[in-house]
Amino acid sequence: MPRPEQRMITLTIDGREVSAPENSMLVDGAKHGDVEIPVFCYEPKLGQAVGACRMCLVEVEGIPKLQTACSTPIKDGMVVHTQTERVREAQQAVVEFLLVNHPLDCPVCDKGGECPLQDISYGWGAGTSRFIEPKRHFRKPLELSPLIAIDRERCILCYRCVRFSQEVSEDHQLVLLERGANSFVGTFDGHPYVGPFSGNIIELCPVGALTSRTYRFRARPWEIEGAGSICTLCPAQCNVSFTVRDDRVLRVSARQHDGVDDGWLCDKGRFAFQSIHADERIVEPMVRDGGELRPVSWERALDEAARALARAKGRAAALAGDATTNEEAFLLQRIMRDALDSPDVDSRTSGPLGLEAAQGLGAPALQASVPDLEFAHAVLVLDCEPVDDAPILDLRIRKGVRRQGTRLAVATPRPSSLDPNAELVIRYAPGAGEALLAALDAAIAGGDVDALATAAGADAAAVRDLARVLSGAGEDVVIVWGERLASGPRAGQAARALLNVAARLGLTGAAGAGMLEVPAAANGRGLREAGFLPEAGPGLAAAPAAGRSAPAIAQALEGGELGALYLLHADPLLTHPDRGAWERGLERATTVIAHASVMTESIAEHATVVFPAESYAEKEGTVTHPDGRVQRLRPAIGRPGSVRAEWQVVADLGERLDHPLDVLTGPMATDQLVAAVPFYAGLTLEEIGGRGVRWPERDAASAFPAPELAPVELETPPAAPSPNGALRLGTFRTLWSAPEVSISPALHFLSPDQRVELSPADAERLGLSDGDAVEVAFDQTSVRAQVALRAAVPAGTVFLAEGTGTDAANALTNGEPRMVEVRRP
Amino acid sequence: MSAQPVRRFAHGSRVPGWDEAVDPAKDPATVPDPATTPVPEALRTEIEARMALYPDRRSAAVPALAAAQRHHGWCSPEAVDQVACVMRLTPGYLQALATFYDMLETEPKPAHDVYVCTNISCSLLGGDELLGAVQEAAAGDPEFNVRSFECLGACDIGPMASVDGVYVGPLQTADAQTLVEDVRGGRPVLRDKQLATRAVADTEARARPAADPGDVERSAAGVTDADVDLGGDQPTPDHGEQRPASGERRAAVKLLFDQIDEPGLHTLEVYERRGGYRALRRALELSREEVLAELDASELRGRGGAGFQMGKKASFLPKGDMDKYLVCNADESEPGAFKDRELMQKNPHQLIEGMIIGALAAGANRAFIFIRGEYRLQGDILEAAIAEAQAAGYLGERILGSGHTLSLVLHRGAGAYICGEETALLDSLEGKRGNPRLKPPFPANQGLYQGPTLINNVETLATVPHIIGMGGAEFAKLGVEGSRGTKVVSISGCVQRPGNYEIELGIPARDIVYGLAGGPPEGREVKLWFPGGSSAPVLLAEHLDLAYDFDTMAKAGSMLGSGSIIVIDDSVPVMDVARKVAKFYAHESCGKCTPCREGTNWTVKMLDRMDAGEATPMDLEILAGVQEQIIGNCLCVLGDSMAMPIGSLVKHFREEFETHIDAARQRSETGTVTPSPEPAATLSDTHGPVPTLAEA
Repeated sequence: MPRPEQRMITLTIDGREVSAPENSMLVDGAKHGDVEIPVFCYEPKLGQAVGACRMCLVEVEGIPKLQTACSTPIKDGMVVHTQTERVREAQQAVVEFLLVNHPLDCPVCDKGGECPLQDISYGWGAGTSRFIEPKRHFRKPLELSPLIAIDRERCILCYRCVRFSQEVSEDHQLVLLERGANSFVGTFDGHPYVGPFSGNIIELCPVGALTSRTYRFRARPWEIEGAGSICTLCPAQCNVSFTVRDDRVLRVSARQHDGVDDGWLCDKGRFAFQSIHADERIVEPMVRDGGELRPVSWERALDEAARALARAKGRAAALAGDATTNEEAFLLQRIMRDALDSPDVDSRTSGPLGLEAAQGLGAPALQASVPDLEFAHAVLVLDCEPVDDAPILDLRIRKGVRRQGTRLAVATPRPSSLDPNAELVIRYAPGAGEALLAALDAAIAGGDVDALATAAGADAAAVRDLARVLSGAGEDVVIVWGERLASGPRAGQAARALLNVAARLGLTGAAGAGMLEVPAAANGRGLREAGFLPEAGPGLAAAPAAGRSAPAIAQALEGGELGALYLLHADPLLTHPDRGAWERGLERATTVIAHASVMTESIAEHATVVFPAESYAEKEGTVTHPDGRVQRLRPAIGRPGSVRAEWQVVADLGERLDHPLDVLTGPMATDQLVAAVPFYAGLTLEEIGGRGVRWPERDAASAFPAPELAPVELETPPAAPSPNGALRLGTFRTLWSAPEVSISPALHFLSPDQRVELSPADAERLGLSDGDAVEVAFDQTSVRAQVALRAAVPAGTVFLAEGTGTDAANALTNGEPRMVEVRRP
Repeated sequence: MSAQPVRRFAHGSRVPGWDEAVDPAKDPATVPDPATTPVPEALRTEIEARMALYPDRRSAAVPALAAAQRHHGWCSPEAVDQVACVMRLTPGYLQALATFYDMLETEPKPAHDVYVCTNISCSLLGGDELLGAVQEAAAGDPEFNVRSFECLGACDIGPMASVDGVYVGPLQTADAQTLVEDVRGGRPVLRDKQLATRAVADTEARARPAADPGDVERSAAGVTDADVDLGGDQPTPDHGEQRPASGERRAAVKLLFDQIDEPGLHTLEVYERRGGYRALRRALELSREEVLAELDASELRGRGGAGFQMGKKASFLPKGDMDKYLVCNADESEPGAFKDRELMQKNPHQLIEGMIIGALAAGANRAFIFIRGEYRLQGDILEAAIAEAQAAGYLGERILGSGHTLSLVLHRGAGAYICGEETALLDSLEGKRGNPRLKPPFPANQGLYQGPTLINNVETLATVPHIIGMGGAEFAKLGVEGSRGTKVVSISGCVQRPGNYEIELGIPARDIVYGLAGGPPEGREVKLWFPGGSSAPVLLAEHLDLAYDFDTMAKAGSMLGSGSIIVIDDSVPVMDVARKVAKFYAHESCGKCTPCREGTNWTVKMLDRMDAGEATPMDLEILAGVQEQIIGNCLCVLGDSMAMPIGSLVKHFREEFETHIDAARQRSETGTVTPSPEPAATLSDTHGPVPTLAEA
């Protein structure tokens, strides 16, 4: 879809000529002439202006009534006055009205000092009030949710928060109740306002009515500093600003970047900063001694680790995940490959992708950007749940549908929160993504759609409709797909099928079209590009020796072919399929080196050496967004305890393994990475700066080893097993299943319990009702869960959550389709 | 000011919910899952049927909540959850609606609703006393929900009440007991005082067969042949008679009210027999441009309040194949206005025919009538009439074999004055809180469901068949320059014969107030009058000789508005008028924009303070200043609707205000309890009874 073009036009504001982009609203246009027009309710991120607060009234020549500058588009030759007596009187009137019932309790208000109401009263108010009647007084503050406090006395009813709930997150939970002067912001029947994005209303509130319960009374604006960095708690990699006081992070706010986050944050990103200062944080090196992890000096820990790795030369493996930076992954894979002759490194959780597929999927010509989601003619959400996997993308997709009329199709095994926004919804059997894509491929190019759709457990007519939508909507088609799609033993074939469909739809090289992967790890893309794949080294070049992928590493550990495992921000028991295999593998391994910031199960049970890692607020380095934007992490606070920079720890290991990495500073690590990845060539930290750089848009992108992938006849995929009384098992990972969430006191209430999502038909057949305690079993293994009835779950399939601890779904999965039994314990 | 302690909590509103925190143990209220939310089958069916009527299912939200309220007795959390489940909305979204609209109750309520109007016209006649009497009569009975209500659109039968949706009046306090007993006994309530049986006040408009011959002559005179003689081969009805000779003062012309009380006129049969739907047949032979040309030639100005030329407004709608909408604004809620009620109740097909022709003019293919929920009887009548028209082929696909298509849906509101504002009406019709929208964009470009929309008042649309029938040019011969045609005027308050009268625009106001309505009761004088509902700046007795038309009223500093005259006589303290007016608009402010929300509320607080003896005459400066600050600064006209009359009252009656304030202060400081200067007049005794249909 064509992006809005910006043509500059000229208008006169307060006697001065101002040049501003056409179609911008007067409030924004005036800024181009350094004229500030005060606003409360106006916030373009919330959609169309509502003109409710009346603060921005100005005089436009030729229009008798004063106009709201927030809703008046500028026109060429327009003459505007913002400083006349008439405007001044109107503005003072509005300020007086707004303060009629405002308690003016600024001395004890958390917003004081960073409050638009204070600023505007000072700048545009009369300074006095004629209101002598009693103001309203009510109980305050009240709980709006465990995260947010509400002070209804202070509220000026600007509608921002409820508009957010209705027009951005679309959760419709936060509403305005009653009417007139009795109006107040609230929820239904005393339910808390809890949703993935609720915290944004705190930032939107122009007064102290909505305050963060984690930040209230922790600091005054003049005691804090802001530090810009990147949130690495999920692949969305939103740009954030840390509020720091006395070397502690007290708050996280959005640092608007239209190319990444559009100025929003999810609640995990906003509140999980508490994990930085949690007691569970690992702050000292440890070594297992007599069965227990004991704190030791860095020298001892490094020596132990180096000795163990040297012993396991050729028999060591490494996993990297989550917040690992490009540099850290790059340096560690150098150690593994060059110093230890161990090519078994993986940053994916399940199944070998194969070199060609990895290169094909990473190709810059096929890469869609985040804003493309908004302006695409059609978006296909394939085997991912954006709100859980990369929440901010969910808001972008909704925005496109709402504002640009983007046609949305959702193809997922599990009911998606985007279903109500979608024109077309396809359900298919969990793990049958390859078959679904083959069916789609056939529907586009000709073939036996019916047989393939049946193999996928999908409706053939819907697959044909999908083909029509994708090929008929317009040239800008974006496929958002989850790493889950290309997992298991046939990960490569599934990836090939996806690439085939992309080729058939002509997504390669088309501006505004392409694919966007949602990787499982926060820096999944960067880790691959830094060389942390078994089949590919830095720059996705073929590895000199192909290594084992994660499932094979687990088996090799169990079988004794591998003896040592390095876990860099990874915990396979939490995140990898086939928990049983990993348990056995970790048990058998002689050395498990964990490099992490938070104590998790694999570490506590199995690590022999533990290196304390930096949190994301302490790190220096780069990460790569799923759309190819290389972004820079900058330390906001110092490292706690004896935590050292991770690049330094890896470099120290290199010294001890007689393989010096020649890295003395963080930027030197970046330089090495850039030199090793041809399509990063020339990239500097200065160029990346605060806004990041999309490498697919740079000239060096031509150095990417993109394979020629013309559409081919696809292999016939295996059919999904048919239920026949048993139930297909699908899995999902909620936004809240993360160690950072469970150790952040404020977010603890969101840590999910295991529930098995069941269709009403299956529940009836099994004699189960909502809330029943059941076991979900495969073979001898079972997990406990509560029945959650969902009408939208297709009969014959159940869904279990991953990452919920010992009851997590990965106890039952191994990357292949699974049939399970649900029974009373 | 006295040294009393500040009375916290005493003033202002204590709203349920303000002081409530959430229960963090509850789950967030998302869209309820059908698997775990049982919904009674009857309710589900009703909601689903409603949803099917609209292009966007959300439009059914208010009707669905009303259905759930009927089913559960109130909009309980369970009821809201069920509606949310069927409509796939969040319960929070619906709760926002339920708390916005007066007729939806979010607290448990007794089974029988008795709404007693205490707005300005009714209170002048004893509405507040009536409320007290009914409350007393029903005291202790858990089956009765007796509450004071804003103007119910029946000022002609004030003081009145709506009993389970049935309008009764004029009532005396003595009727309260009977009212309660009738409800308890399951009998029709106050059968002989029901609005349904009441004849129109305009005696010249009553059905001829029953009226005296003199009346017939007068009512029939002036109706041109063109009015009815338009079907070519159709037989000419027998009531077209000769026009008065030029130079003579024309007798009253009746178009909309022509024999409005004829029995059965609300049925298709009688309406057609009287020549109904012939204007439509003629319009179907014309092109859209030709229909627009007729409307243009008629110079018909909107009868809802703003007075914008209808033909011009209809011509603003763009051409093209998109869905276009015609919305009839039947949310008549302005205190003093009740003309649309009578038009819809007695001649629904006239409106429907007007809407079909209006849709031709606008190129609209979907039409809605947004009727205020309180007008239950009128809504029922319209629904039946729509079904008849549908069955007869006047509505639906290919109207009367032409290429035109029109669907017409009656949408009932749920109690909110603001929904009479056209953009608030659109939001409400889309299933949202009735908040006015910013303009531009204007509804003609982006109205209902963002599509081009023409919105007109009931009377405006009901006039359209007459314009097409008699020809626009002929219609324009009625009335005066700038105000063409006839107009139904609602007159109420301190007059002897309140009610609806169809007049030719431009006659002296005195002819209406004294000639038709009989003027104030014996021995009283007109002190002030609202020429266009309570939102019009007031005029004085000296203005009664002005011509009653749009431009003259505007020149006098007020407005004709919807043509609703409220007369206040010299027995009524101006402070009481000001407080009633201010309280009404504060109650009806939607709360969206700052000056209206805070300004109306502040004004009420100031007036209360003045009345309670806590003010000095200097506070009048603040009062007037606040009105100035409201006018012109609001999102819609509601704020101005309070500020203009209050401002005009202060301007015209400053001395009386000062005296009142001083007297009140003296009372409060000396502690003497003296009654207010003079009790509000109760006119029910002087209020000449209007014969019922049976008597007529």
